[in-house]
Formats: sequence, structure tokens, C-alpha cells
Amino acid sequence: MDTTDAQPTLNKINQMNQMELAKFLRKEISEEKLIILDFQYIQDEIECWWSKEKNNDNFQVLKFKFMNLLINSLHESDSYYFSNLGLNRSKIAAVCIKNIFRTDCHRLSLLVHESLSSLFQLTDIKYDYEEHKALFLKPSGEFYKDWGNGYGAITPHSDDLYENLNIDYLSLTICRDITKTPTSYIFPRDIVKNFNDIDLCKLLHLKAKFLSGKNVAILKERERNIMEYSEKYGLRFFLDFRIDNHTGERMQAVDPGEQYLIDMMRDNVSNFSQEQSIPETGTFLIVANHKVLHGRPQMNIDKSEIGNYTKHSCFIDTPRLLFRSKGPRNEINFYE
Amino acid sequence: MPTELQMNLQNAVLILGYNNTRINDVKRIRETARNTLNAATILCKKSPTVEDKNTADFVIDVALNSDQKNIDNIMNAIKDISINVVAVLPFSDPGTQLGSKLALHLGLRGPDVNKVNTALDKYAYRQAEKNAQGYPRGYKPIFAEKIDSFEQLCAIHKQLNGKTFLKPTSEGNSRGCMNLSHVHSLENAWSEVRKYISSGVVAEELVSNSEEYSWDHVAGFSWVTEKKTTQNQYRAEIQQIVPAPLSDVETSLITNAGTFMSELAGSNHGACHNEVFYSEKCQSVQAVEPNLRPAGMRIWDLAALAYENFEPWKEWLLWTSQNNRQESFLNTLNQKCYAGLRMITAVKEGILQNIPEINLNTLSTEQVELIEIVWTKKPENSVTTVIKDNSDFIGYIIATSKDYDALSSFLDITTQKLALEVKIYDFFN
Ligand SMILES: [Fe+2]
Repeated sequence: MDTTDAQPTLNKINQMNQMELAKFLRKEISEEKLIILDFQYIQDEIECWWSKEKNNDNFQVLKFKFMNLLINSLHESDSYYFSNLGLNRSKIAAVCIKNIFRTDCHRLSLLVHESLSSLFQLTDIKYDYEEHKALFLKPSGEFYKDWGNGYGAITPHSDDLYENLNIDYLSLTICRDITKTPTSYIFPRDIVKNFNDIDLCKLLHLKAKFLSGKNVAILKERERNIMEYSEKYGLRFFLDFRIDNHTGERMQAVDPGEQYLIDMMRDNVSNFSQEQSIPETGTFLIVANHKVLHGRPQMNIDKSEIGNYTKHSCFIDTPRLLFRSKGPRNEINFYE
Repeated sequence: MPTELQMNLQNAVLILGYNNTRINDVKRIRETARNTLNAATILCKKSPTVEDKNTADFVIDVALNSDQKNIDNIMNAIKDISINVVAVLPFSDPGTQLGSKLALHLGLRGPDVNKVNTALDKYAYRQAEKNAQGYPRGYKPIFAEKIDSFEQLCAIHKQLNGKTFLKPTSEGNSRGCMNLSHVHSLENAWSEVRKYISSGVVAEELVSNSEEYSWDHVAGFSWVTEKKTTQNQYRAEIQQIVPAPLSDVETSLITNAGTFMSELAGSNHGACHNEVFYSEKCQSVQAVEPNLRPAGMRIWDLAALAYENFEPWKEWLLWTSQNNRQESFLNTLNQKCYAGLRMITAVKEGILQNIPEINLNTLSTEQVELIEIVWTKKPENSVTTVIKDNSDFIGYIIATSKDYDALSSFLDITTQKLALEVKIYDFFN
């Protein structure tokens, strides 16, 4: 059988010499892309539908109807992305959709968020020890950086690398953001841009220890490779450059002799200008968690004002309200 | 030009429950429904979980017995979401009851409401069998009696010369089934089946010197599956091979029996999984039970591997939605190979620690292709060597071959090999 067009198997990759392997790795990571979609063409339909349905308090019914609206009204060129995110065959690492709706309403935002997350086959996972659906400035937020509910910058990372379950997708919907603070993202190709062939190939076998941080109430730890390859997903990266107030560097090389590889990547992360999403009401962003790293600059407000914002923070008056989901890809899996 | 009303109606299929852990088959039905009928999937079941909600497009919280109020609940829910139901899929044993009534109500295909109770109640089937006007060649009805007390159990056991098989009337997955010739005392047996007495327990004559098969059917396509059960008192299903390696004469004996059973149960050519015993010596077939739903243990997937161009899930959806290409329900399947599934038993009792990653290619042979290895237990689960029902296995494999004997020994050897690879933390060291 001729397999030149098919994705190479893991066996094939293990047989490559260093030059072939480095060439292969560079080609793979250079092809990953972010897609920006504009849903302006159905925004009026969505707003009109919502004005009729907003008093319906059965969320499941609303979600079913809204997903039908999307399936029936979206251009096929847009709905194509629903089933092709984060896969080897597509090389689509993230999709950012703007202008889905314009009404600043947390119920509509949550509805859009849950519906699109489901259409992208994200199965939301909720851990008991983590508060994760709504993101907004929380009391004491001004003291933390590298924390989703805080004020300070968040260094690029992939989510939940210390958990046993792989988080394939992460989605965010903006209900409102008067601070205009975008989500930033960086591709692995930029993180290893200046690596020579030897160091690049070493990454395939580099093991690191990952620690949980401020976002979870217990300390979790896990050792794993920072890079994996599979025919289905292609190359996936497990990288976290955050530094936690309590636990310190969230990712450390298991072998101290290899820590320099992580330090080189960390330098690149701080020196490359990261790309940014659109911090507007009605934006939905979904990333393949192991294809692109995400983060956030410091909140775009004066530090002295934070106290005012967090004191009465609730869904109605918080300056920046996002909904988030994260979890594995939903598909037939006889291993469960 | 469609009217506005028609345009707003979204097609949907209703799944009525699922047995045990078959949520992955629900996912597959959803995919098939979307691709073949452009329909959403609505799952109806009591107390749906978060996983149910993540799996179906919509979930209706409803009991699955055939009470009118359950029909009303479903009709109200489908009105709320403005859908047009194009198919009703009874996917659980209780769901066959509500399914037949609902299908009738909606004018769709489903099991016969007047006969369908025989698919749920094992004693009702024995009565229908007893009252039948004649049997197909080789078909022998089984003596059965309902028991309510220990004294009754003792009396029947004596009457049957100690060859008794106990069955809860409304349980699946071999739960609660017991061969009394294997138990130490009738008291022990009684204490184990007591909990099923309220929903009914049947004592039947034990069928011996017979092999277990099932006649599986969907929309006029049928085949015979060979089944192997564990040799202990619980008789859990450990292996299936499609098609069963039988002569044409034997296959037709079982096919006629299976067809007869499906008529007694009122399948109307829908999904059937009719379990039978076949005795080579007597050339006779005896019914274990009819089931009006797809077979478990991935038998439909085995059939899809064994036969040319056969997609049983799709055929089922086309049948219920009345979209079959043909109107005759006598279709032939062309065999490509044998496809088998065998369960993996833990080598010792303890806590599962680690499952190695195994490359399928390295285990396949020239004659046998290993298709899948599936682990149903995960690290930190407790595991046992005493198999009471299918949930006590740690996983299974699926393989195909043109040669039955090669497949059969491959399944046996490979599952033993794999079981040894699994690390189990043992309480005693
Ligand atoms: Fe994050």
C-alpha cells in the first residue's frame, strides 16, 4: 500500500535519522494555523431569535434550538471547522469567531458559549476543586499574576498538564470586556525558532515535571514528555511557562542537565511578540490546547481601580466577563 | 416550496434508554443519524447524567415503561423543541416497551405492542412459547416456572432432577443467572436471587450438551453468532464469533428458530438479538430469550467486519424511519471473513496499576488481524478473577481471519498474553 500521502506512523518517525526528524518536526509545526471567522452575516438572526427566546428559562431547550439555528444558517465553509480542530489532517490549531452577537447579556453569552463548544466537540470537564466556568476579577485578584481570575499577566501555557486526562480543547466566550484585555497565544514554532537540529530532536524525549498552581485548591504533580506524536493528532506540546506565587516554576526538567532546553524556550516566549484575540462582546475563541499556548497580558486597567471592581463583582457589573470550557474531544471511545 | 412550519421542523430520532455502559453506541447512533437521516438524536431515559447530556443532542428525563404519562412527557418535550420525530429506537430492554407504544402513537415502525412484553419478561416468553401453534423443525420449548419462595425452588429443583437454571425475569448482562448444579447449596442460591424476587425469578430446566448461539437480525439482514460463556456457575459471555462456524443445515435450524422467536416477540423486522441453545446431537434448538434491540458486546461491529458492505446501525435507522431501499425483508449477506471478540480476565485479584501500550501490528499474524484492544478497567480500579457478569472483565480484543480455527486460537492465546502484561497490585504482597 502506498502511504506517502498518509500521516507517518510513530514507527516511521522513530526510524528517521536526526536530519530527517528535524526537518519533519519543523515542517509539521510550521503548518499549524489560527483561523479567524466573522459571523456578522448571522448576527441579526441571532439577536432577533434571542429577543424572542430570552424569557425561556429552560437552558437545555434553548441550547438545542440555538444549535439548530447555527447548523441551519451557517455557511458550510464555516461549519467545516467544527469537526476539524486540532487534528493532524487539518493542522488547524485554533479558531477565533467574531461578531456572533452584540447584546451584553451573560445568559446569551453562556448559551452561545455552550452551543459552540458542543459543536466543536468539546466535552466540558469540571473538577470539584476548581472553579472554572466564569472568569472575572475576583477579590484579592490584584495580588496575583498567572491566574485567570487575577489582574496580572498570564504567561503562555497549555491547561491542566498535571491532570491524568488530556484537555484537547479550551474555549472562551467574551460577554463583555470594557478593559479590552485580549487573550494572547503563541505557537510552538515560535518557541523553538532558534533551536538547532540536535536540540530540537532532544525535545521529543524531554521529560518535565508539572505542578498545579493557584487555580486549584490542592497541589497536583505529574511527570510527562513535553512533546508527543500520534497519527491522529500529529505533534502535540505539553508546555507551561507560568510561575506560581506559591509553587514556583510550573514546569521543570526532570533531568537538571536538560533544564537548559526549557530555559531556551522560556527566553523565546518572553521575547516573541505574541498574537492576540479580539476582546469584544460576541467573540468566541477555541484552541487545541496542545497545539498552541495561551496567555493574557496584564489587565488593561489602572491597578488602583481594581478594588472598586472586585468589591461588588457579579455578572452584571464586573468589567470583564468571560465564559470558559475545557475538556477532551467528544468522540466514540470504547475505552471508557 | 416548503412552508415555514416545515422549515422550522428539525428531524430527530428518539433513543429509548441504553443498557449498562453502551453510551458509546449512543454516540455512534448519533453520528449515523446525522449522516444518514440528517437528524438530531434525543435520548430518553430516567435521571440522565452529565455524560448523557454531552452525548445526545437533547435529553428527556422520563421513565421507560409504557405508561401513558411517559408518552405524554415525551410528546410535550418534543413540542417544546419543535422537532419532527422520524425514528424511534428502543435501545434498552425496558425501552422496548415504551418504544412500541410510542412508535404506534407517532405512526412509525416499532415492535408489536401486543407481543412486546415477551421481550422484557422472560416468563412471558415461556408462556407465549408454550401456547404457540406449532414450532419450526428442531425447536423445543423449555419447561419454566415462576418462583416466589424457597420451598417452591426446592420443589422445582427436585422435579427437574437437580438440573435447574435460575433467571431473574427482567435483568440483562447475565445478571443474577445461576446454574444450580454448580452451587454448594440451595440456600446459597436462594440468598443470591432473593433480591430479584420482587421483579420475578424463573426456574427453568437446565439445557445441557448444547452450545450457545444468537440469531441476530436487523431489517431483513440476519446472521448467527457463536457465543462462549465462562464455565463457572454464572455463565458470563466471554467470546463471540460472527458468523458461527456451522453447516448450512445447522444455520437454517437456528435461523428458523430465531425467526420464530422474533415473531412471538413481535419484532416487525426490527433489531433482534435472540439467544438460543443448539444441540448437535439432537439437532435441536431451544430458546434462551428474545431481545428486540441490537446485540451487546459489539456483535453488530463484528458483523460489519465479517460481511461485505454491511452497516447494521445504518440499516436499523433506515428501517425505523421507513427509508429502506428494499421492501423485502429477506436480504443476504456475503461473508468476507470471521470476526471475533474475546474478553480479557485479570490474572489475579487486586488493584489495577498499569496497562502497557501495545502496538496492534506487533500482535497480528499472517492469518489473523488484530483490530482492536479495549481496556474497560482503568488504573486504580479493583479487578477480580471471579467473573459474575461482563463488567468483571478487564477488557477485550477484536480480531478477524478467513480461518475460523486460526481466529479462535488467536483470541484465546492473545487475551492470555495481554492479561499477563497488565500490572495488578495484589493485596497480599
Ligand atoms: Fe489557561
